[in-house]
Amino acid sequence: MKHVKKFLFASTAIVATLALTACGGDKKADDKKSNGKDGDVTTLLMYQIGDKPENYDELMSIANKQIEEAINVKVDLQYIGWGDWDKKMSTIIASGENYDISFASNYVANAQKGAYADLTELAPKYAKDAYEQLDEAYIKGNTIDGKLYAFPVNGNVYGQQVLTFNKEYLDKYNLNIDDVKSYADAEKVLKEFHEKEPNIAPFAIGQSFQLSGDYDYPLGKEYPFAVKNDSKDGIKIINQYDDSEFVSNLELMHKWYEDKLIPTDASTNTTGYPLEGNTWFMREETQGPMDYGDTILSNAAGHPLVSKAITKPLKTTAQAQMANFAVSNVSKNKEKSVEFLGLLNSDPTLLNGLVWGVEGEAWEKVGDNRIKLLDGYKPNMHMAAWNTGNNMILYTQDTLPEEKIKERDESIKNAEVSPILGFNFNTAPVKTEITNIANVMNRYKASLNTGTVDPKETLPKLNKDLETAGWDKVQKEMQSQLDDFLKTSK
Amino acid sequence: MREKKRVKKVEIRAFSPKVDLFFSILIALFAISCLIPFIFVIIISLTGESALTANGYSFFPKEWSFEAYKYIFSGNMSAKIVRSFGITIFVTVVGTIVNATITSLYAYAISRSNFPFRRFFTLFALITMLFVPGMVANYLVMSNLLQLKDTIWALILPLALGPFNILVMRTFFRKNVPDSIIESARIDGASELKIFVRIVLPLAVPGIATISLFAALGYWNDWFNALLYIQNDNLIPLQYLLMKIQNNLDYLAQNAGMSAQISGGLAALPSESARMAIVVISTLPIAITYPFFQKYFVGGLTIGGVKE
Repeated sequence: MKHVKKFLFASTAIVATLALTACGGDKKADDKKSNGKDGDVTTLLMYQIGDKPENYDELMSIANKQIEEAINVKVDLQYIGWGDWDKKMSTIIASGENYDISFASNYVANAQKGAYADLTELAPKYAKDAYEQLDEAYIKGNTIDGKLYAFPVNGNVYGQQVLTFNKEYLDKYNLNIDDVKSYADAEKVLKEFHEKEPNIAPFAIGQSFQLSGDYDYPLGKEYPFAVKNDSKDGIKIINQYDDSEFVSNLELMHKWYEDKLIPTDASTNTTGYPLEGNTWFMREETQGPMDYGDTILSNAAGHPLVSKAITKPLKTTAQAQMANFAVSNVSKNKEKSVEFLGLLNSDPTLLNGLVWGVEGEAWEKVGDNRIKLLDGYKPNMHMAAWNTGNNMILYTQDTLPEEKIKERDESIKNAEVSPILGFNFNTAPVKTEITNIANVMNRYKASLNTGTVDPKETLPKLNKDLETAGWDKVQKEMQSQLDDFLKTSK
Repeated sequence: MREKKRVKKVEIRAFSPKVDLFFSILIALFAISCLIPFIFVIIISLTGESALTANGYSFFPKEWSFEAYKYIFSGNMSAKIVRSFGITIFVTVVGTIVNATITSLYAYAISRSNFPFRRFFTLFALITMLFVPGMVANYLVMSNLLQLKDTIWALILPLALGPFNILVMRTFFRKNVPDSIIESARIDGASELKIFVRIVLPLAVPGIATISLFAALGYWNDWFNALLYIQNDNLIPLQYLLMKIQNNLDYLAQNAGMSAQISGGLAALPSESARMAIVVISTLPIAITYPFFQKYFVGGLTIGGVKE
């Protein structure tokens, strides 16, 4: 009797476990069945970064109808929030889970690891129209070891740093910013403002603030490796914290800090100053051609802003990789995925329906490529332009003057190309040194960049610590990789 | 001649009054230091947003306001927040029941000396405590093998059985449920299940209450499983919602200079005092349940420390 009971108990446990797994199995079968019903329409699973629009279901059902008609697939677009993106995507990639398209995450590393499909031949073949519309800088900037692993979103191909002023205050106190071309030029107007409104942050910066200059950074702005864009004597990796131009700006920041032109909590403030509202007078922003001057920035802020450029417009690798979509290497529908990316980036009806919202509710067409916004146009009722698709086929608002569009095309043509465009530094040989350097920079960068400490005393300390951390070794490795890159890319 | 002081039973285990006072003060300070941050959060959640931007945090805000709570219960995110609150409660209640049931069944079996595989099953549980397979392995089992992605079970099953709880319960059963009671029940003709339900469980209430509290806390505070397995907006627990808001804020603040188009998203996120209000409603309920479990707590935990 006892044995029978035991046996019964054990078998119930086993059955329960099996039932659980079987449930999973059933679901899979259901999926297949539902696919079959639609007449073999494959559904592409796509991951996108950001917040889901509130009317997501409506947007996608309209879009899916158009996509199905054009290329006979459906898209299941899944949003993953900003903050979760890195963690979630790295798990999905590491576990080899099946998905088709994703907004590229940690693009260079994952492409080198083989997580993304090679699109060098697929892209021009299956997404011909969209591929041909891309600026050359995009292809070059996304190429890794001679191969293209992502389909970039044609957007802000160049970026430039600007100082943005709150127009309300400029008008109120009759301040003149016409001559501002560098940080130093802004000092006069900052001082005038500070006298009049001592309680409002003149130069609103926080912990994440990094001084800009005419450099390109092979490892990103937070690392002390830079290339001077206008250097005459060859392309050399330097330490920007050692460059006279940069150092003089650091000293300027310290002076501003002492004069209270920079908030006293700048080096610890992590929340920053909101763009909307009047808690700040001047800030630093990045702008590109698709911002149409200050149009987008002013829209985001909800009040007029005026910007003055302090760096030259530059087409960089970082800009080229700003928003790009990769096809997963485990995907079973690679061709279809590329075809879809091609469609998204070349079909104005599809893309505008996603980025501007539902036609007729949020906007209506008033000209060839012009639209008028209606009352239905609300912040969370459409997708973002910068990470969805080709900005060149987006309709523009009727309030945007024609010159701005011409200006945009001109400026893209005239923007300089970074001397190291397309260079991706392989960090493997100097991994430890880079971690050490990151630690050193974390100690110094906030207090130096916000001017909280005196660069005259701190810079020698920083450079000494960098030396101990192995800066020279990394520089040599980087330089030799860069030289190889320049030789082969010519 | 000095009279010999009579020593009472209690005094053997007690400190002298002076030492007692000292320790009382020390513990009181510690308790206050634990409480103050939470009180501070409550105060911030009740501070007017304009006072917050103008003067920063303060224990005595210039302006009190219930705006933040209004935002939670009637603002544009209220549907989401209330839903998440419901999910959290559901997961905690169901999860705690599941956890307590499986744990006590497992622990009871391996606590009885006449169960032939008890060594194997004890080791089986212990191994998972010593060797952690890591996130990716877990993820594979949950999403590919069991296909639990985007279901409520993904929030319940990963925490349904913990080796630590099993060991606590096993010791508890061993010490508090003498073999002779079970023996006598068996002689009276009770079946195994009846013995467990009618005799063992009533004796083990303090232990079960303790592990239930552990489980409830685990479920209530869990956001990581939601991060990994939940895509569906309707299944987001409160802690994860909070985590998401915080992560998004961090991300946007760090990349503030990246592009105006990205910073547009910042406007959609709740304000400082609203976030604190969410913290309050996500912590208060579980804090309130503590006193109910407390009376079992000491007995339930210390039993594992006694050696015979």
